Amino acid sequence: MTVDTFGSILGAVYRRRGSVILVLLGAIGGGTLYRAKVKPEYLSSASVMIPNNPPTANLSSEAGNLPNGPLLPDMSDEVRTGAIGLFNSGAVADRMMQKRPDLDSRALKRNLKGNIDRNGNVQVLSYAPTPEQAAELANQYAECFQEEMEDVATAHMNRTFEAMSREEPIALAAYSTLHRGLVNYLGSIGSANLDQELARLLEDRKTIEAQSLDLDLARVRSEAERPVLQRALDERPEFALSRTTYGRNPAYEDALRRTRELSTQLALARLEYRDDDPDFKHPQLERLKAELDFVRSSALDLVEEQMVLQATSEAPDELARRLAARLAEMDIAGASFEAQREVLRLRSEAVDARLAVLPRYQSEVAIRMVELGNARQYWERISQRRAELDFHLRAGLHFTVMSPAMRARPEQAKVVPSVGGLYLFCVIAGLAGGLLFAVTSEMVARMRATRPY
Amino acid sequence: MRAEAVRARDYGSAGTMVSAAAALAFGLVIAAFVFWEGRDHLRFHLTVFGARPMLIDDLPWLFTTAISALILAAAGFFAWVIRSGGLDRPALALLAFAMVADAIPAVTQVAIALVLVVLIRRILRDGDVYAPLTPLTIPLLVVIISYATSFLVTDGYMALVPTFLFRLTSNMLIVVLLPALLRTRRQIEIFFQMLLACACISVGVEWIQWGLSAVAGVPITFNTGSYNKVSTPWGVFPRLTGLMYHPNLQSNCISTIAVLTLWFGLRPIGAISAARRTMYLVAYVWLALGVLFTWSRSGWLSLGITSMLVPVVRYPRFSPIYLGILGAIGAVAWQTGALKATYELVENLNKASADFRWHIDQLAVEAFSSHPWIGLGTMGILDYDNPWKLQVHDTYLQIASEMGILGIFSFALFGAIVLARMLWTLIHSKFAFDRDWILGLLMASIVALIQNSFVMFLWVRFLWLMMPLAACISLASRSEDGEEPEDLAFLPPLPKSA
Repeated sequence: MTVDTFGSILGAVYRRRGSVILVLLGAIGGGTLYRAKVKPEYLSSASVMIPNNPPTANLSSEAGNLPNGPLLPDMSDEVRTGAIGLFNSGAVADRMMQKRPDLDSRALKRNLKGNIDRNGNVQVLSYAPTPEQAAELANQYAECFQEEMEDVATAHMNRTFEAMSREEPIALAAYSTLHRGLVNYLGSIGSANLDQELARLLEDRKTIEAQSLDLDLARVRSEAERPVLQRALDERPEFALSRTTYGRNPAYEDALRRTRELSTQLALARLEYRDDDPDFKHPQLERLKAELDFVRSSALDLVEEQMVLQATSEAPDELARRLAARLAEMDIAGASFEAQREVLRLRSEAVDARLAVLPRYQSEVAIRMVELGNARQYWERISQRRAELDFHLRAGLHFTVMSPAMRARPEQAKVVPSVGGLYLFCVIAGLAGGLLFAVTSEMVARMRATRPY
Repeated sequence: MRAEAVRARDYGSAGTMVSAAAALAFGLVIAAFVFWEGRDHLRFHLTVFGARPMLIDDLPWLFTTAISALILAAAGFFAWVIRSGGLDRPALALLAFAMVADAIPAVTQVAIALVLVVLIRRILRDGDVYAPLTPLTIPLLVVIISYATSFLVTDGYMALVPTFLFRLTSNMLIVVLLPALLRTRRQIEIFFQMLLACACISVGVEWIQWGLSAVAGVPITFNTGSYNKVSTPWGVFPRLTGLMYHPNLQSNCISTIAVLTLWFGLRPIGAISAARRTMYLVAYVWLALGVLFTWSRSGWLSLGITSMLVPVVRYPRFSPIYLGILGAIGAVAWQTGALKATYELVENLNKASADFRWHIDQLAVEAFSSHPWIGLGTMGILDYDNPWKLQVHDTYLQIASEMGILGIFSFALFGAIVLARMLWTLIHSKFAFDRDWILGLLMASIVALIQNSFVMFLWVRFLWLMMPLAACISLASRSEDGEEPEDLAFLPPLPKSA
């Protein structure tokens, strides 16, 4: 083969335009022929809306749905395709066959398809020879689909409700049993509130320990004080001066009296006699002065002794008495040390013994309380869930929607294939095929021409 | 000179009648297909695609449109066969296309079949065809033997057979086939142009994938794994794959072609026309953008390093200035923290995918230590105490762990022979074309050398293309007078009058 230009290739195709036209005519003619000979078919569609967030249900376990949980199968996008699976499973077709026994099941399966439209609704596509049949089948099938969906959901709910109803008294009985068991156990261990008892026992123990400590301290103090007290007692006299009476010294009193008398006499004498003459001193005055001076000096000498002991009395030494009493108290207390210690020891042992078993009681009670709590919670949730399911089952489940606008109508049914589309694509495919035919013919012809083998 | 028109009348009247009937029948078949698809398209779509397939939901006449497009593509292909005067160019172009289009099934096999058709026709015409074997045949045989030892060490050896046959007929056959096809400089240049065009088409497909992903809101690529998207500080982006299955594969082949394009685009003034230079440089930018949006870090690294090296090798006299500028830019980036920030950003892209690799590499080292001579066998690392059930992401360790010392020897021999012949050509050839190509291939091989440290590309077709391509240059360099041999089995020169 020799190299050619693009224009000449187009020329070659032009030269083989007969082939192109024949392929095109064959395509168009064939399309017309098929359209004339093959029975027409109409396509109608009805839509069923499944809300994006309806109540959902966990089909495998209700544990996560107690007490208020979703009721129905999950309707997320993934399960819309599950709805298509339900559609294609034959269950809906079976229901349809029950309503329309005149239909052929294989034709039904071929002519009724499930799709999801652009709005996310489940779309029922129905093919039939007439628009009326197509619309009717689409609507009936959509209704069957709705019923099947609701039946599947309700069946699940019914099974769940039955299970809950059977489980509820069992749960209650289990709870009651556990409750009785706990009460009996608390009675057997003699305590209604172990925490309070523990606190009390710990307080008692602290008190006992404090008392023991005080007791020891008292004993030690007593033993330390005893010799000191004894020594102090020994040093004390049996009787001690209890009272000492002091009075005025008579000599001093006498001196004072005499001083007063002499002063009076001197004063009287000075009245009688002159005392201001330096050359003459009256002997009376002189005598009185000298006597007064003498008595004054005697008084002055006795100032220090103006109070003299007059009388004393003795009584038993108070301190000694107290010391003795104290020692007696010590003796009495010492005598009770051991008894007190023994009491405290016994009490401590009792407290410790009780404390030793308390952890075991506590753990046992804690376990029982947890079990009881779980059982109670379980019973409550079962009960609430059963009540909720009962309510919804009695109210009925209608979670899919097919409004009148979503129903198929005969006037909206389309003939398939559409006339315009058929001829358009026949022309397009025919031209493409014709072009291929022409180019291939040209290529083969050139190969034959240049390589004649 | 235009070929003479071959008219349908040449078939004769009977042939014309048959041809007309065939055309009509073809038209009827088309009509039947269009009619029944129009009638049943929804039934078929719902059965095959499900309820809400992305992008094609409820599209009527989808298959008609697709098949019409395929028919037009086939017609275009045949038109090209006519225009190019034979099946050679289209077959070669299909082979080049197959190198960058893993995602299109059977295209390699179709291309090889067409090539074989051409060769067989030449044999039938001429009685014989000259198809030289290169020294690469020897290491190839050792590789085949090394691969075959996998049957000795694996339990499920029957499962290895289809993979072995596939790699034999697509990867390893190219080592033998390509030097038989491309023996002249002209042919090599044509092949590179085709590779470049196909790479640009593949990058174009990347942009289509990006657009479709943006419309659909989910990554739409040929990769459906969890690694078909990447989380970045600017949002989640699809990792574009072009016509390949994996973004790393795409980055590998596109980077290699991009480096070659840049190398040729930077030819000295006078060695290349301005228009061609512009075309090459624009193509390089186009391909580099394609590599960028594969979000393949190993691809970025390889392309970046090699692209920076190309001017240094191409213009060594200016390399101090160039390196100085690069150094200054790097210093500024370092000082401002931009370099560190960029490194951290890149490191954190799909960080988990990097973390596990070191563990599997460690497994590969242990596997080699315990099975040094012939390794664990192909894919044997998957069951070697490997909790991730992933292959080792290092081609060198892949060779060591799966093929052992024998495998290392065979591939080392491959590399040594290729390198020796390239260096010999570089030193001894007096044609600038040969030296230019050798240096370009050496630069391009850096992409593979770097990227193979992070991926397992041992059996990637494009890698197996590069080695025989280097051998083709060495073969072509034998023509010291620049004349083409008379006995070309493939892509003969155009007639002098044309």
